[in-house]
Amino acid sequence: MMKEADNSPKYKLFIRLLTANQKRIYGFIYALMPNQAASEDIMQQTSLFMWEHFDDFREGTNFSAWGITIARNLVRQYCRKQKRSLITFDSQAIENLIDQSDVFETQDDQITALRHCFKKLQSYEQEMLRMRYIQRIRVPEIAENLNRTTGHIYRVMARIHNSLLKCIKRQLSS
Amino acid sequence: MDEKEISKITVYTLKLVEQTIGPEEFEELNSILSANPDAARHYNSLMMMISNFQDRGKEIVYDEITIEGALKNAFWKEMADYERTALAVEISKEEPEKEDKTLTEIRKIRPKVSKLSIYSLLLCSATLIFVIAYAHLISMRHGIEVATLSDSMNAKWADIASPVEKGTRLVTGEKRWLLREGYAELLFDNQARVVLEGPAEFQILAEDRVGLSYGKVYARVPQTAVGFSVYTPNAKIIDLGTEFGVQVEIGGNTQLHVLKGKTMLMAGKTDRVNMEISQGNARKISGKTGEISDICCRPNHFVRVINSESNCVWRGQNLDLADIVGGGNGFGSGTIGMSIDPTSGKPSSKPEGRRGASNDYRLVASIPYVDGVFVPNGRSQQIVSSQGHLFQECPETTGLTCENIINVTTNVDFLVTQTQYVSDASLRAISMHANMGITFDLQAMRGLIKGVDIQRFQSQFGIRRYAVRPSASNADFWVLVDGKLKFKKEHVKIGQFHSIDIELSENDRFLTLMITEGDDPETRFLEDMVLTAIDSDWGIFIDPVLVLSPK
Repeated sequence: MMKEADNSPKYKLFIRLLTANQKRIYGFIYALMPNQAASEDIMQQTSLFMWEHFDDFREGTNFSAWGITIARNLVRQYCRKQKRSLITFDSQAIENLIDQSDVFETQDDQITALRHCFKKLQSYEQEMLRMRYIQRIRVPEIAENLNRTTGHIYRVMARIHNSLLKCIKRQLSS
Repeated sequence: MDEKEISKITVYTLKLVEQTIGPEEFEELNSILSANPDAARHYNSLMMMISNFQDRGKEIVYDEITIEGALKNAFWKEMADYERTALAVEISKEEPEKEDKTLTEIRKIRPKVSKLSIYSLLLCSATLIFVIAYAHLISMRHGIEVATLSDSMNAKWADIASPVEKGTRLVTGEKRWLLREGYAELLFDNQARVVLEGPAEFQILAEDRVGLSYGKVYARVPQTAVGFSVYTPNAKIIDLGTEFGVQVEIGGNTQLHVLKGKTMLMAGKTDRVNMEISQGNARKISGKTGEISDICCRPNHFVRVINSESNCVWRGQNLDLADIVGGGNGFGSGTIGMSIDPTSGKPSSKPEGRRGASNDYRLVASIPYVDGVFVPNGRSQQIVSSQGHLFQECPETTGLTCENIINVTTNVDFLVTQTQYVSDASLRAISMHANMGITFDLQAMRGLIKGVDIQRFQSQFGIRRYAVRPSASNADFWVLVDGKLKFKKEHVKIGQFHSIDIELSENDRFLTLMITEGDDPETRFLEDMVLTAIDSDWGIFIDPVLVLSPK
C-alpha cells in the first residue's frame, strides 16, 4: 500500500483535527441538505478547502467552527448550482438552520449527556432505539414487527427523541 | 412552539432521515423551519442526536467504552496491587523428563536419484530464480514508460515547469502527479483506461498499477489488462475484469464503487481482509481504523469518459435531447428557451405564431446533433432525414403549426395533468406543437463520447397544461428510427400522460420525434368558436433521453 500523501507535521496535525471534528461538520451539512450523496460531496469539498487553506488556520482556535463556516458557504454555492431534483430546504429555512448551527459545536458534550439520558429511559424505549440505531431497522419495519401502524411508531419514536432532547438540555445547562 | 408542533417536526425529521417523507410533509417542514428559528434549533439538535446515534450508537446504548474501559482499568489496577503485595512464590526446579530408553531401530533409506534428475532440478530452480528475480527487478525498475496521457480537459497540473500535454508518456517511479483541477485520461499500454478528476494526487507504480493518495479515479479495464490495480493509503483494489471507481478522501477514507464486473478488495490494518466486490456494490474503508463498511454504490459519482474535442464529461448520465434542442451537448450546456423554427431549420429565441408551411425537410446547420426539422402534412412523400429516409405512414395534416421546437423545463407545466403529479419541477422537456417533427443524428452523438453505446430512447409525453381550450386538445405522437415507425400514440388529450421506451442498436442512424394534429377537421366548432385542427395541441416530451452505456 502507498505511504500517506504527506507525512509532514502540518498534514498530521490537519488529519488529527479533521478526524476529531469531521462528524460534527458532516452533521451540520446533512442537517441543511438531507441527502447523503450531496452531503458527502460537500464534506469532501470542505475537507479539501480546509487543507488548501490550512495555513490560514490558527492552532488553538475552533477548528469545527471554521469548518462549519466553510461548509455553509459551500452549501449555499451547491444549492445555487443544483438545478436538478435534490430535496433541499428553501433559502429562508437554510438561513434559519445556519443561524442555529451553534448546537453542532457541543457534540462531545451531547454524547456524554445522551449516554446518561439513555439510561433513564424506560426499557421498552431503550429497546425501540436499539432496534432503530443498532439493528438499523427502519420505522415501517419496526411497526410491522410490533403489529402497529407506522404512524403510531413514528409518534412513539418522536416522543422518545423529544424526551431525550429535553433531558440533554437539562444536563448541559446544569 | 407548543408540544404538538415540536412533535410534528420530530416526526417529519425522522421520516426525512429514513426518506419516507412525502412531498407535502416536506413542504410543511420547510415552511415551519422558514418561519420559526426555534423550530430550526430543535431540528438541528435532533439531527445532531440522530447523527450521534448513527455513528456512535453502540457507545451510547451499551456504554461500551465506559464499561469496558472501567473493567479493564480495574482489572489492571487490581493486578498491579496484587503483584505489589503478594507473597513470593517459590518455583521448584522442574525435573528434566527422562529420556525413553526404548529404542526403535530406524533404517535409513537413501532414495535413489539419477544424476539426470538432479541436473534437471538444478536447471529448473535456476530458471525459477531467474524468472522471480527478473519479475522483481522489472517491478522495481523506475522510469519505464507504461502509459500515455490520452486526453485532458481544463487540467491544471501542479508542475507548471514541465507541462503535461496530450500524448505525454508517463513513466513508473516515485514521482507524484498532482492534478489540481480538471480531468485527465491515461491509457496504459495494456489498454486499461483511467480517468482522474482533480484535485487528485497519484503515482504510476508499475505497468498495471496506480497509486492514489487522494482524489477520484475511474478505471475501465479490458480482459487484456485483468489484474490492474489501484493502491490507496489503506487499501488495494485489484481488477477482476471490470469497471470501478476509487475515491480517497482527504481524511484518508477510501471508497470503492464497482459498476461492472468484479474486483478484489484488500484492506484492514490489523486483520487483513480480502473480499470480492461485485457490480453494483460499494465499500468504504476507514482511514482511521481500517474498518470496512457497506455504502451505496453511486453510478454517477465518477467521471467515466472525457472528450476534449466535444468538451464532454460523462459520469454515466443519460443524454438529454431537450438540452440538445437548446444548443447544448446533451449534458446541460444548452440554453433554456432556445428553440428551432421547424419552418426554416434556424435557431430562434423568439415566439412564432400560427403559420402554414410546406413539408420540406430542413437541415439544422447550427446544432451538430440535430439533423433536421419539418412540418409534416402527408400530402406528398415525407422525408425525415438528410439521407432521404421516408416516413411512409405519415398522416395527412393541414400543414399548420404554431410556435417552435423549444428546450423548456417543466416549471411551466408543474402539473402536467390533473391527476399525475410531476415531482421534479425542473425536468427538461421539448415543447412541440402539432404539426412538427425533429430528427436527431445518433451517429453524430456517438462521436460525442467515444467508448459509449446509445442503448435506448426514453421519454414521457403529454399535452401542456397551458392550452387555452383544454377540451380542444387532441394530438398524435410518433417516434421513428431511420424513417421506420417504432412508436405511436394517437388522440392524446390533456390530462393523459404516457411513456416511451425504445431499444436502439448501433446501426440506427436517425431518431425522429413527431407530433400531428390527431385527425381533427380543418375547421371545427367549440362553444361558438371556430377552431383550427391544431388548436390547443401543445405537445411536450418530458425528460427525453438517450440511455448510454459503456461499450
